[in-house]
Amino acid sequence: MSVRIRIVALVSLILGVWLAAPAWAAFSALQGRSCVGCHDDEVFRVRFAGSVHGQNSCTSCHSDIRNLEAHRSGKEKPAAVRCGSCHQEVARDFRLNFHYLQEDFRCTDCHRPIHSLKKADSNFKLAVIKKCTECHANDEYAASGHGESVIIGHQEAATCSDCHGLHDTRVYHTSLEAYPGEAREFYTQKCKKCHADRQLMERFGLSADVVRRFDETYHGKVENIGYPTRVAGCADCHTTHNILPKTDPRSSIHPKNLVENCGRCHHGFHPRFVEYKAHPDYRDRKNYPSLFWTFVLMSGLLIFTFLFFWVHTFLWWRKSYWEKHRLERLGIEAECLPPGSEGLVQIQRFSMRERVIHVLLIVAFMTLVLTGFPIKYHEAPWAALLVNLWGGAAMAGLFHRIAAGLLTGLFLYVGWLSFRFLFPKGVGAKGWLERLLGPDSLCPRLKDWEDMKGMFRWFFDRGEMPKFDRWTYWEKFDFLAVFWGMFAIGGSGFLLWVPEWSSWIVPGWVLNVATLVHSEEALLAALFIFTVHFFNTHFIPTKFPMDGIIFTGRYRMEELREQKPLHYERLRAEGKIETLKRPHPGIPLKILSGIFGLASLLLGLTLTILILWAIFGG
Amino acid sequence: MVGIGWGIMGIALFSVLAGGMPVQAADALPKPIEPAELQRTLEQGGAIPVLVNTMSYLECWDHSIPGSICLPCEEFSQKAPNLFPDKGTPFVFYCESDQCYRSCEAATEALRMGYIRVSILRGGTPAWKGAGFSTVSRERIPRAPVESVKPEMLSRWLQEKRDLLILDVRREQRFEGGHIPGAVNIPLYRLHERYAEIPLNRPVLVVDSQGFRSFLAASYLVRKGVGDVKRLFGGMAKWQAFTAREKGKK
Repeated sequence: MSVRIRIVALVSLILGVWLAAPAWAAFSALQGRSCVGCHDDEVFRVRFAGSVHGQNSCTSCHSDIRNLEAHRSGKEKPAAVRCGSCHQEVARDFRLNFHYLQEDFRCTDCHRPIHSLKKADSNFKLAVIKKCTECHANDEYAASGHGESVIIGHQEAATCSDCHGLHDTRVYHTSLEAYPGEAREFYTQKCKKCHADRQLMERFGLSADVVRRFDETYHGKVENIGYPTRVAGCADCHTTHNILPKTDPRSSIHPKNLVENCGRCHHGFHPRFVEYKAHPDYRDRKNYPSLFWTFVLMSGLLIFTFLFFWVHTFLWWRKSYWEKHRLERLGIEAECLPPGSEGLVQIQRFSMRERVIHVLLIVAFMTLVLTGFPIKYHEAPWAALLVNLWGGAAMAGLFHRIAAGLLTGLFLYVGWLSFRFLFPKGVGAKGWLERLLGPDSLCPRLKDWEDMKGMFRWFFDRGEMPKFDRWTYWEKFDFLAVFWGMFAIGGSGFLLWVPEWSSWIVPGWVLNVATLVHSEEALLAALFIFTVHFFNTHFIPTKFPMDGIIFTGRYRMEELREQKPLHYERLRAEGKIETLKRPHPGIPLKILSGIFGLASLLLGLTLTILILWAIFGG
Repeated sequence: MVGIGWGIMGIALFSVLAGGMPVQAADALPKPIEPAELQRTLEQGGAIPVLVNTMSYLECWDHSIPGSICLPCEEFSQKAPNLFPDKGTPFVFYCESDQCYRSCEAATEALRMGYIRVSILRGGTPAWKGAGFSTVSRERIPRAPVESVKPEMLSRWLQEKRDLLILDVRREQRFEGGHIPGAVNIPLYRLHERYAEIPLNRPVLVVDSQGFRSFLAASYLVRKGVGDVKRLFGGMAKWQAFTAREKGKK
């Protein structure tokens, strides 16, 4: 190296050291060694080293003190310590904390004294209680299951932070409009987290099924579907801190306190209202016999109905399809009627009134299914979507009740029409039995039994298709099933609609039964309509894609003669055929009926898939 | 006939137009402003509004939005004309909650006094903090472990005639409207001047309107040397609900 470079290097070195030295001195001085020269309190000199931050230097936290002289002279005032620079997650949580937002707490307001802070003792949960109760008196909590459990030393019981959050303590103030929905949602989820944990519950000798059972009740279903505002969550019945077993007379769920407890939301009920079970187990025959046997009955009803009719449907399809195939193979085509022949003339089967009723029935039924099933299968992935299509659970509930009202109206009207059929004006009771068991009646009779046997024979190629009069037995079943169904589903529905009023007629536990009946009957009705009824009207190979007769109200005389031969002969004999002749349905009617029918079909099939997904999807 | 019809229509139209105009001149309500919006306004510079923290001095010094002035709502009408002679001064009032509309009437008072550019920060300081912005402390009161006392307990203590100094920190008018028997009144916005009136050796129970502000007031008293300080849970609101229930039971 040349001399000149060496001189430059030396000068730079000296210059560098001379310039950096004060800064270095100041910096090294601030490594904590000289802070206690002035801040010589015992806390800093002795106890800090043994604290949780003892391994840090003073400036690890008081990082803005860089210049010792400026600090000493008071020119540089130290800013508040930002704990979040190391404790990032906690700081993030803390921004949600009620204590920060509303009372402007900072870290050291709880974690004090900060310089001699020791780690929480081994019982973390107890330490939390001790800290919170420095300000929040909660004598109720100590008496309850959770508090007592924590104090004894159980590490799994709930302490303050398990429900309220540790650093992100949320508070839902009663003055806020969003309360109680938000609060209820938040806290109910906390309860469920532990009380749905099977192993945890078994360790404490508690029921592992209570959450599942709660989710099966009306309260649980509606809360799950996203409408916690108007139904009870866990804390509404069990209270927030004073959670005592129901055998304890101080408990909110002790029988003598139930009227007051339920009365916080429900008003105007008869005391027997509180016999309602908040989370029963319908599988438990010993403790809930009425619920158990209702379940057995309803399940039996569903199983037998579907067993019979799905077999019936399948066999019908098999016979029909094989028959169609045979004709196709042999090249035998349906006889073409020459234009102008009487067989082509349209004969009315359903009056305008009956057609309108059926359209309204479809609208009401579909609405009920679309609003009700998201609640029944609230855990299904499609449930929330469907509810949101209605504009939320409250709107879905409103439409459900409107449609129920419509269906009830139709039911009563048809009941009235049936009454008039049996007891016509001017004739009265004379001959009512003949009408009841006659060919125009929808009441089952011996001929239906014979027809059914005949159909099964036909299914198995052992006979001809029976000759039907006006109503076939499956059409009668379609009608009567809805009629009977209305008693079950309508009756239970009304009891559930106005539970307080219902308590004046029936005790509260009947509402548990009603929920089960309503739910199972709905499944029966929906699946039956979407499978069996749709087969009858859409999928019989000769009718596919749909039989529009219920919308147009009429069919060709030829069809009448083929499908309902006895009815045809009767009409001919009574000379009524002429009066029933109608013009061919116009294009608008055909298009309308086609659209409406196919839309209903598609909707029904989609719903069937969704229901089966919910049942078997798990 | 037609002429009368046109005449009536003309009068109706005129009155609608004329009647509409005075409404524009005096906006009945202060304009709400969101925290993010306020932050943007402050960052941009230019016409910065006067940020008025309407809480008490103690609360304001403990934490407020950077750049605010402390002017308790109780003192606004008295001090504002001197501080802000220009009626066009833009104000943003805020307090500790969304209930500024109901609790402190500084904003409506300002409008009444003729200030025309009056806004309220929606949600107050909690919303400001919730939006992620920070506050400043001029003089922070360390939070003390102050126990809260429920109305039932207080009622029992009153019956037992326990030695208790009930300090009501609400405004004078509120206090005169009804208070716990035996309570003394030092409004929160005067507490920093009058704290010496409180004896250090008697148990003190701090009572406020809804329970939100008594904690800070109590922590302040602890700092000033009062040995035994507690606060009434839920404030006068809970107390009044409690007494109403008790009366109903009898």
